[in-house]
Amino acid sequence: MNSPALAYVARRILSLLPVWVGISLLAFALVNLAPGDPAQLILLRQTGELPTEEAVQRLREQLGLDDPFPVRYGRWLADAARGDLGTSLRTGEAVLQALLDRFPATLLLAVAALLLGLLIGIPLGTLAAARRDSGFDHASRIGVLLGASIPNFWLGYLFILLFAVGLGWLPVAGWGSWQHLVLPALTLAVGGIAGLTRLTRSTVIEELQADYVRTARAKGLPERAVVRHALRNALNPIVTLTGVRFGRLLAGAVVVETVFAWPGIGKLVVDAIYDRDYPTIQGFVLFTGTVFVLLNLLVDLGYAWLDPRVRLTGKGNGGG
Amino acid sequence: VVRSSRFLPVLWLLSFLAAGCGGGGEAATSAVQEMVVAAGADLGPSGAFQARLGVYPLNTNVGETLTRLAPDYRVEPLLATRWEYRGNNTWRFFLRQDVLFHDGTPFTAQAVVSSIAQSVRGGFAYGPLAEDAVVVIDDHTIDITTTEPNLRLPEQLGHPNFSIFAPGSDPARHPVGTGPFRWVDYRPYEWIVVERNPRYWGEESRLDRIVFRFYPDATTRTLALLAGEVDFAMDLPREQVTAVERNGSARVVRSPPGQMLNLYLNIRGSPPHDLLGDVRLRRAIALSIDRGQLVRQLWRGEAEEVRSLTVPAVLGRFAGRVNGVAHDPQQARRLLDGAGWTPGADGVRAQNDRRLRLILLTHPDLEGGIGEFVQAQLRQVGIDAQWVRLPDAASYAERLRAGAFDLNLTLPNQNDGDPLFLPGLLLYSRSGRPLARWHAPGGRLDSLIEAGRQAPNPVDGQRLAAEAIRMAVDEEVLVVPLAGRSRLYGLSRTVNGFEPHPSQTNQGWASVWVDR
Repeated sequence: MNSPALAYVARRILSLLPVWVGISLLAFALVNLAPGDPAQLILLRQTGELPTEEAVQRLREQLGLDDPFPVRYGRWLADAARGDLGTSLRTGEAVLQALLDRFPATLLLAVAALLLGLLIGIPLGTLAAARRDSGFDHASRIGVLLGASIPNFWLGYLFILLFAVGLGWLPVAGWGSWQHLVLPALTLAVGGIAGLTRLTRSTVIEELQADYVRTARAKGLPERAVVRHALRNALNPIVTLTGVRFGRLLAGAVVVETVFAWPGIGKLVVDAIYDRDYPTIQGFVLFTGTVFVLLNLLVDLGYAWLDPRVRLTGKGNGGG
Repeated sequence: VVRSSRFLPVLWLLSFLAAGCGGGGEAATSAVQEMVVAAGADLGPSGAFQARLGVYPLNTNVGETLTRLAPDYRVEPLLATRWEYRGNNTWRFFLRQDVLFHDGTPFTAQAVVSSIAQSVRGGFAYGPLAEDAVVVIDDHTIDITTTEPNLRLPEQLGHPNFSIFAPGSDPARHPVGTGPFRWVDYRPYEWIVVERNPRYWGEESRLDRIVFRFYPDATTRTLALLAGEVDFAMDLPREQVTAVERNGSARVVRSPPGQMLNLYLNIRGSPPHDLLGDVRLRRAIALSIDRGQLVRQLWRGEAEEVRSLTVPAVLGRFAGRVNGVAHDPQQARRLLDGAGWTPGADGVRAQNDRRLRLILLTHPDLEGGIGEFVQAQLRQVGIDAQWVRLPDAASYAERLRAGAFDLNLTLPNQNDGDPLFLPGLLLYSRSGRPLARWHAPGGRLDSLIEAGRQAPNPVDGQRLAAEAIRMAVDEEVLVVPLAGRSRLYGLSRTVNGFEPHPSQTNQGWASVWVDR
């Protein structure tokens, strides 16, 4: 990597600081504005009944929830700067540890779903573009429509019924072996496959109408090679979509994690939101914010790798 | 051109992930007497504020209490062999002498001191107890003194939140109890594993091991049972009972009702939630709801119509004293007419230009349909119930606390043997509970509840509780009991000996075995 590119990367990483402060402040304000008292909920979970106001007040004092908003935010920010994201109000675990414990499961699911999407979506879209208006193209478009429309949870149940209950090939839910990964990854991948197929088809069709393709064909280049060239030039929007989708997957797939009892961070944060577990919500926002910024950076680096015309500089977002 | 060598890292990553994924190492094995139970979401993760693992709401039978709540709601000895009231709010308990904790240390009075103190500190002890409530008389005798008169203590101590753990152990991380199962492993949100306690003082468990696996999604639990992945599924959704019953390898077991569907009425609200101060309106609401239809159509017969706000068995022979309010919409209309609420053009009643509009809240855990059902029933007599669906327990609790409602449809459980538990929770004005502010009328009802708590004889406690409930349901219509709901369990046909407890949190597992 040349020095302007290195400067660019350094600049992007530095830009994380204001992002962290901004999103954490926003998240802190939002969760504090939401109705509900974490102390009341902690006691409610332990007894099943709304607790006495005296017990709630005692716990609020113990948790420091009675301090003014700026004091609590300042305390949280100071701790976060030292790498301490606090302790979960619900579980008593260190938030950073809870996120790190669950992130591998989320990463695994996200990578598997993304790879399935790429390995199926790009070839399907390319083939549909190369055989535009053929029976295959029409069939793939119907498949894309279905894939994009079917809700995740329903598809998940369908896969469980077929592959676990009916055929007995795969486990219903849980985690612990590669077999456990298949159904949630497939469920999560279907939407991605649909999106990538559609995008690849349209961008490759656009490229196939370009002048350089006409020239290549006129010079007698085999159609397979022509399509390969067109695909290479169509990859930039696909990389963008992949980056965005991967970011979303890394932020957790709540529905799929719930249906398949997959211990990822999506379910963790939804439970935290239900329980008004402020430190966990804060930690999650910071964590996923960082992941998004870094992924965007990787996508930008990917552009330069895929397209030699793109140059990264320390002064802007890269350009031609 | 994308060269094929660029796919090598992808292939490497795939193989790495496949290898890494296999390393999870689930605790379950195929031991002969192992049962895998599909439980709901993990609601009691470790470490938080004195919490105890495997106790509430999922009881793994690791801990035991001084008294036991039998499935017929009788209170029986468990770690205490007997007890007696000594006067001055003090109970004396005589402890079982042949009991060992799972770590081999003997069960003594000191364990009761530390465990009750921990329950009180954690805020999940029922009853007026202070941290120093327990005084050691000798190694196997203790006195427990309540801060207020409370002679229902032996009935209350059967609640699993009063489980006794070894002194110095940390029940939030690794509970060391005296129960028929000992703690083996816990992975938050994934599983709890317990094994048979070979030194159990009572009848030994027939199972060697139970794996409680958490499946937050109810449909997935059912599918796991049908796929043979688990032997036992807790809390089957009512709509999936038929599918399980049609399956040759599984069956459905129902508990006697232990969970009550009650409609609580806000009698002390500020405008616009001030209408239900009028007992005629409250009675009209009670008369307008067809409990039979609710049970038959909405809950597919998997519940019972009830007259009392709590499990009848807990009131003993006095349960019949509560009559409830029978469905009679004509009478409801007459009452509303008499109260000056006349039907408008759209059928909704009004009085002096004020429409008869009530805000109905439902507990977020209640399945859909019940809110609409109550709304539709009230609409038939001219009451416009606006059902406010709240997304989670936090918003629901906050709205209740603020009193911004007229009707609250909720599902309380009777988890101990105290007949005054539910009346004392919401209908006793000095309970300190936020909801008592909106539901409790004070006066004679308070006196009845207090008298029930001061009655040394449990039978008198039941009689006074029945009288308090009769007043709350029949006379004052503070609450409209609708149905008692059974817990539904899906069992593989290889599972035997399961006796469902109406209070799920007191469920025993020691009698269960699996045919392999």
